[in-house]
Amino acid sequence: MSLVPEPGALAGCPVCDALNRVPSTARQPRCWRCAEPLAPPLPAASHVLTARLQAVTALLCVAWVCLIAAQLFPLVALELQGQHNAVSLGSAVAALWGEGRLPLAAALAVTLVVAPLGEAAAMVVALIGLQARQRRLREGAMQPMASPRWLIASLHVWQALRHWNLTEVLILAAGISLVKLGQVATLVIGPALVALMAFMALRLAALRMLPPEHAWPLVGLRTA
Amino acid sequence: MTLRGQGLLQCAACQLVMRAAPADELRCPRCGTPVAQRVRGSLGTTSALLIAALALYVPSNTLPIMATRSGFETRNDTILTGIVELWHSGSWPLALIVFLASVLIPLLKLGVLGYLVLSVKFRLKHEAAARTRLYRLIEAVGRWSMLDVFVVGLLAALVQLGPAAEVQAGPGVVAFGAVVWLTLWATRSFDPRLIWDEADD
Repeated sequence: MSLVPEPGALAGCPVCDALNRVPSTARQPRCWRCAEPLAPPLPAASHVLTARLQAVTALLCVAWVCLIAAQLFPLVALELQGQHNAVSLGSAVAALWGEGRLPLAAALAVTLVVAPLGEAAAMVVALIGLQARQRRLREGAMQPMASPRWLIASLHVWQALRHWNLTEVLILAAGISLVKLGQVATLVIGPALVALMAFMALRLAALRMLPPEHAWPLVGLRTA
Repeated sequence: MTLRGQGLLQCAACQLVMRAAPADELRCPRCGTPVAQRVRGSLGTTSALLIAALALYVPSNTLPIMATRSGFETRNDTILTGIVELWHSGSWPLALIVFLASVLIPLLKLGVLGYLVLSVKFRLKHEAAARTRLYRLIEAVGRWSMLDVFVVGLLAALVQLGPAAEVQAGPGVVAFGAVVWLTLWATRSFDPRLIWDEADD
């Protein structure tokens, strides 16, 4: 036996299981029972959708520049009695690993290096796939068609890594480190911290325009 | 009206709503994820992770998370003494932020998840909306508990100036990080739809 998709206007609430009927004009629909935000209906005009995808792509390109800067440049530097030490995200992980703090090094590597880079990469792949699909639909080709597997995979990776990207927590942690060491030594904010702040803002803007839950309806059914 | 009441299923990953006939293996036709009415074994997973987090909660608060050496002076800080130190050094807003992230939020997560698991187990019918709000709250703020882990990680990596000043990560930070990770996992494994099921029946 197989599963039969219901017509698009029906939406389920992922939090309270209530059945919702989303009107096609709703901009930010919410569950009638628990007020959970639901995926909005697809824009009727395809050019609106195309413009939205292009805007997210533009945000993502700038976010990538910031992310690379955040990974490569020093995050914070320390000056004490003529001695100087600076760490970037990568060298912090390497230093902790060298000191034998393996779990700590792994926690930082996963939440600050692997998850942000992986999520941003998955978003790029997903947007390429969604835009290609949108272009073919606009040209009037094949109404129901299956999406390539890599597009599905990229959306899964995006969804899975989103929660492990803790860059915004690191920004606050760097601020607290500045104060904690304030009396002992001078701590200098590095360019990577500024880049990380910019990355955080751009990523949040991109996720606000297109969260992965809203991207799924743009993907066709495999067995249509 | 609920999905379950109408005999409908929803994909946990892509939220596609489907009508299903009984079968041994069901996969979402859009994203390929196995589909089930409710997250399988949700209560058991959440309870197990919660108990593990509770067991680690005591060492995470009693063991030192950070050892600071400057000159000949060495001080060991636990989470609480670190907050007191921050308060005394005159930055009470930051001390308050660290208190929220490292003390209040972990306690809130343990308490709320315990309450939610028990309320589902004992088939509590009322206050489903309020319980859902509690669930959303811990889901939203949970990640900020990693704050102290990152502070220790940054300082231990940065302050390595030999005899002049040195910061070492303590065993407490691993226990604390494990508590945060276990409670984050426990929150994600809990299926909030269980809160509403009893009221719907």
